[in-house]
Amino acid sequence: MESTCLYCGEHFTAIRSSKKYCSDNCKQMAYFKRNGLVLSGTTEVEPSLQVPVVSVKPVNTNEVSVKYDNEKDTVKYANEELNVKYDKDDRSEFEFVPLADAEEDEEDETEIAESNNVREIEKEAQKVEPIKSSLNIEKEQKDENEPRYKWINSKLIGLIEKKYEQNSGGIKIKEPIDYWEYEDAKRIVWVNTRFRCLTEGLIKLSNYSLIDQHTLLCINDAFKRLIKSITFNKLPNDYPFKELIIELFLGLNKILAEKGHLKMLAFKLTKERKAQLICIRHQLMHHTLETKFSEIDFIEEKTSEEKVQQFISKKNETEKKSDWRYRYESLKRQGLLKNQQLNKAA
Amino acid sequence: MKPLIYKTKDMENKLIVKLYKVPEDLLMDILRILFKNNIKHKIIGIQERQNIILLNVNFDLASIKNREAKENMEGILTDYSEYMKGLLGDTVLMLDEEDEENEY
Repeated sequence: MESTCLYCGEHFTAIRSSKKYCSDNCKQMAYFKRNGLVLSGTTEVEPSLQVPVVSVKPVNTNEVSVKYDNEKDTVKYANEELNVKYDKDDRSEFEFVPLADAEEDEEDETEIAESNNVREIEKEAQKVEPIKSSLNIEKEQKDENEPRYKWINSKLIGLIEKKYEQNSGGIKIKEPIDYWEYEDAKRIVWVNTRFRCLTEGLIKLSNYSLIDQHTLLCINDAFKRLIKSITFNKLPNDYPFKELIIELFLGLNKILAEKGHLKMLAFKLTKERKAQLICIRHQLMHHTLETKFSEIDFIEEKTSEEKVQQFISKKNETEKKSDWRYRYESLKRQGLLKNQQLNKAA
Repeated sequence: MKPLIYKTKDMENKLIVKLYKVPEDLLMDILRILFKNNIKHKIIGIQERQNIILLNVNFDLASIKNREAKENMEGILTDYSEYMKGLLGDTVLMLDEEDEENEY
């Protein structure tokens, strides 16, 4: 179907009967033309399409408010001169900034951009700061409100540490051979081994709710043997635990006298005493042998003469006869040894 | 059936349950720590012969107080077990954290 373009006037074939323009370009140009836009290299807008200028005269006033212009102090309207009133407030709003050179423009732009960024950051920071400060205040208030944690110390552990500071055993227990003479040190080691065993027994028993009376009797008996032993009595005077061992024995005796009729009884130590025993046991632990109560012998170590007697008595009769000690003893008893000696002398 | 408790990962890491064996000698000290700091705890058993109690304690590790209370408790128990080494038999005073199966 043949039609004519409304913009350029050329003939073109259209599929639709309502198509007005030959191309999209003409369609767009027609639109610009309708709205009074003139593009470079195009024809001017038709007078019919131009929007008429509407002028309005103020009705009741001789004053017209105009924007600041250095050249014009008066405004003419319809051959009438009107007074100009400068809008001072508006003028004050427009402060003219001297333009920079063209070369510096880019730098300025970047500077302005940077300064704008800095301002934005500052603004944001200003916004954030009050929040932060409020948070800090809250934290501070929390810290102030929350009392500091009070460390709680155990009474028993405190007492043990106190005993350690007093150092009841000290170097004497650590190195008895260095501190005492050999014979004394030997006795001390013998007593220490037994005392460690008894101390451990007492601490263990004090942890139980109820103990058998027989157990306490055994421990009491062990203390008794230890105290009565010659080794214990020959201990040097500066041995640190001598008095304590006797004190414990007396204490046990007292308990048994009071509660001896009970089959099961509660054995408790005072905190002070327990701390003392734990401290001593801890000191002894590193320097004396660990021995079970059932395996240890509280009977005192025998002298060399007693050992010989025991050795002889244990042997059988036949063995006894063959032994020179036995023969020597029997001869002595018979008085033969005396006669032989007399003969030798003669 | 045990109710399901939903926790975030952070919460899961911060809320812990610990099981302690507290001997009679330390009972008052440990209870003093728990009561003074309002720490949730539960006595779950007693070893009658040895006078030991089994104590379940819930700690919120996000709280400074709870953390310090935990350190305090464990410090006391460690010191005690050091001094009583060999006397407590096989008793370990601090046990591992309990894993609760139904928590997600």
